[in-house]
Amino acid sequence: METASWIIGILIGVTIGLGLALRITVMLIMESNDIGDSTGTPEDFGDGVTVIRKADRMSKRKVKELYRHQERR
Amino acid sequence: MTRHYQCPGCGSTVEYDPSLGKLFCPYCNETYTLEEHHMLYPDIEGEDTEGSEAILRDFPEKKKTARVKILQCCSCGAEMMMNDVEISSFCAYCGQATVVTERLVDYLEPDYIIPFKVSKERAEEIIRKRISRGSFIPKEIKDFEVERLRGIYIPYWLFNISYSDEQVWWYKSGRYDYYCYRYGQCKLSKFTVEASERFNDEYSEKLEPYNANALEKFDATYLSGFYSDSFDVNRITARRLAEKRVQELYNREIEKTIRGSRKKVVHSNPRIECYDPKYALLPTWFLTFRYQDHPYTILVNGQTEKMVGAVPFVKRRAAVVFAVLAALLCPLLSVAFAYANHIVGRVVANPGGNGQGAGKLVAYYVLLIIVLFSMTWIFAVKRYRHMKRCVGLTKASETEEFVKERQDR
Repeated sequence: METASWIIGILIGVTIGLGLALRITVMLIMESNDIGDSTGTPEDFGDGVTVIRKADRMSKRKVKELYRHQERR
Repeated sequence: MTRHYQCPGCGSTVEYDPSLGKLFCPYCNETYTLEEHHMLYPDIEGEDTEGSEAILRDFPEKKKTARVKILQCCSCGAEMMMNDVEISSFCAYCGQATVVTERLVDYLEPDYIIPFKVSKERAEEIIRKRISRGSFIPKEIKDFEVERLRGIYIPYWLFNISYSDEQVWWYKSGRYDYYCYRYGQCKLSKFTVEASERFNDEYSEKLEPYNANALEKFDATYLSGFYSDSFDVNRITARRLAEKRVQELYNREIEKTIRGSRKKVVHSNPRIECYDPKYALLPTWFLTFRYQDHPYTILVNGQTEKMVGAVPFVKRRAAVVFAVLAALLCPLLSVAFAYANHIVGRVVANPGGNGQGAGKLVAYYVLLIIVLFSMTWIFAVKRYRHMKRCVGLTKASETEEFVKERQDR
């Protein structure tokens, strides 16, 4: 069991190490070779997006009530 | 009918110089402001545009044709070949900058123009400076020879847009599914939609934003010395494109306010008002060079100096960097994870050996692998694919043809 956990740890380490190396290499390439890639955002054309009302972690029942309310409107 | 803007001093053709902000005669080196030139050479009056609103509404979508019109250079009388949307170009024989005035009347004169602020030399200088800094850029690209550098006024529709939306989003946080509600709005002023069918929309969007405060009332004199096209995407189609884009931009901003993975809109009630459409010509430099027999076209926003494009990388150098990083990171992380597993195994796994402890250990490994895998491999593969797409846009033959199929001076 102990040996297995060490082996699994090493395998995870190698996989993540390779993935991290790839991520860093790709980031360096993009930094070097990507001359310009951004598009305009709402802030560039006005004051951006304003969130007037919000609610997080709503239940399904509340969502259904909201649909019914919108349909009535 | 073609026209060139004459130098009051020597009679040659004056061209608009972005670095001076005036008309410049390359033969006698005299400069004139637009007002001075107009006093001496008044513009030709356009036709009555009372019916222009009807034209805007009903203007049929122009089909993509290879139709070429033969016009006569008003300077030397030579034949000039122009396609059916070009407004300004150069004569291949005498090199004079020429404006097709009849197309400013027929095709609806633009409401606004942003004159070039970036000169040809400056455009090339900033591209060279940027490319020389890239450590993964091949030497042949760093020492590129300019095949073509053209300043083109691109047609755009500008809209004022008021957008609001009541949305319900579904998202995942940990193992659980949630819903959330967002009601927001945004007001956009002079939102740009490119109005040329031949120019790739994805590429043109990256030139944004232009500074709308610099919009000037249209004056055809600014076109002298540059290429320009009239619109062939009508206002109605452009409005639909604008609405679609604004919705995408809005959703992207709202998504940032939601914490969780795998989000999507399950219900929305958008309200959009698109009003006050205006037609404008906005400046762009197109620089084309060749690498391994392929043309690459980098764009420079002719007002803000923003560059757009991506170039291929040196694969050998990238492989060496990857190998060095892997050689450093793999041993370190292997030791770290192996030791962490050893500790976790002792704490989580039940010494009695029943299924519960082993189950927790397996869950821990699975979660760890998923989280770390997505932070590294999935990110890297996504970004690499995005990079390839950007290089593909720079290499696109569509863009090269848009620039190339114009009269050379």
